[in-house]
Amino acid sequence: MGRYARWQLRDYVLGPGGITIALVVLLVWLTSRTAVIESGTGPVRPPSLDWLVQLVGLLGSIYATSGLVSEDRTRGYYRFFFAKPVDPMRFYAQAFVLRGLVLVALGALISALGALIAHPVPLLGAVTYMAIMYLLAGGVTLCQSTVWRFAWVGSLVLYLVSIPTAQLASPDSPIGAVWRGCWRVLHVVLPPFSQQTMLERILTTAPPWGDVVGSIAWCVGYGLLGLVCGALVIRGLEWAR
Amino acid sequence: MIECADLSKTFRGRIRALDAMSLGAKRGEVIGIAGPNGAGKSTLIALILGYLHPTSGSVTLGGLPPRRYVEHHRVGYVSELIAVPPRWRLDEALERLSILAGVPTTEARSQIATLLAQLGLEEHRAKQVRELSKGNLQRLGLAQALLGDPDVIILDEPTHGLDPVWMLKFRAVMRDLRRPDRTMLIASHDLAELSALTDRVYIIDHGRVVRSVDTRSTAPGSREYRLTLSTGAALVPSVFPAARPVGPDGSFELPAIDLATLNAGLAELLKGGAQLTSVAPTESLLEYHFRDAVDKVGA
Repeated sequence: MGRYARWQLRDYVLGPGGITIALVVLLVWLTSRTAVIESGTGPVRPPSLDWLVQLVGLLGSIYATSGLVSEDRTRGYYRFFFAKPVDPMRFYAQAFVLRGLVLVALGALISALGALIAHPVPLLGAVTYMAIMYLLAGGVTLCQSTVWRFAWVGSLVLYLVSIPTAQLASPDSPIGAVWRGCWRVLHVVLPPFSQQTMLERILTTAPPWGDVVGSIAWCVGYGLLGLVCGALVIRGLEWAR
Repeated sequence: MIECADLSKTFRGRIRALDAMSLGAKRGEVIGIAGPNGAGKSTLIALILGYLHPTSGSVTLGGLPPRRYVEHHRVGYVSELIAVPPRWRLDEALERLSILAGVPTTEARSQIATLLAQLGLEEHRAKQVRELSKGNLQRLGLAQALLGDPDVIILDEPTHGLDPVWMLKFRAVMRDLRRPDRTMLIASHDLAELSALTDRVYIIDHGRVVRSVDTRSTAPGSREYRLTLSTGAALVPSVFPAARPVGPDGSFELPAIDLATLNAGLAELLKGGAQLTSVAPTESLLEYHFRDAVDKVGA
């Protein structure tokens, strides 16, 4: 199985991974151009790429894992893959890890490019943030990918629902205690995408990140739960329809 | 090696694809599965490979649940639909699938070269899968199934889409695949192919085995024959009153008769001075059983 890793890596880099990398390079270039234009009209503010790490951490992870299982299933590629002595769970676990490594490396690339345009994102912060978001968003998306084709839609909907849910569930919410309790339950059940704001500190401060350990644990734990659920579905999946 | 016992599969709680199907294939045996469209052939194969789970009954390979066997042993499978990512090159597809088949790197290159030569794919090796014709795609399907020298080979409509030349070559390849420690299962609509390649054919219809035919056995009691004579055609109606002339050249179709009646009639014709050109059953043994079994189910 390990020998197949280079092909899985190639599939990703020549597909969704390549598109993600190209978009990152384009966005970095546009950001640097904006800085140049602004410098012509007045004092320039060094551009930051924190937002890009956050964007890629979320959308890149969803894009990387969206069709991972469903594509093989709906297009029938599983027929030849899994007639070989291959454990589907290991096959997809390996692909998941490889795609994650590429995204983490992309975090390092953004950090390096940030340094080139004057406002670096800390390397350790970028890499750690990317790994946490990949586990969370990638884990949730992979789990959905085992059962339907539009896992990316599901993850985006979960993201969009989880943010207001977190606000309604917070102690500052103006709604009544009973309703807040209901939202609190939903907040715990939904993926903790709202922790993104807490995790931003990873990108701006040096370790140790003691005040965000809880958020990190929640995101990593939820992502791992998604992966375990995905693995269980793959184990019992009926590939043919 | 392959054992299905009272195997049933129902989709969405109401579509019964297989209904208490029992069949088996021993090590060294080549068995065939024949049946009309929708009889349950592909569902059966999906269950044997563990791509579906039985609703009831059991299926085992080498005494193990299908997935456990497939994930730890060598199985070759050609599906009716050759689904390979369209942008893969043919040689790349074989290289990738050889890795998944567990073929060591040192052996993979020679195995792939041999298969490309054997199946006439050398000139297409650099083409992308989407550029391959149906026939070449089918050959790619067989090539990948043979990677790693599997002990169990499952072929679902293996000659579907091949031209007559390659159909014959394919049959020769499949005949060569037979060996004492290998089990093969071939599902096909082509009864002549199954007759030529298998030891036994299970005829299935409506999800059930309706007949098991030993393709090496002798003819059944009564069959229809086609009789052609160069001289003495006028004698035929008196010897075989139910004979029906077909064409102007002294050819007749004889309705279902047993071998003794046929031989007695032929002896009488020869005695009367007739010259026989040929006597042959109008359908093969398997065709006879297939028609008979499916007709009975229909009735």
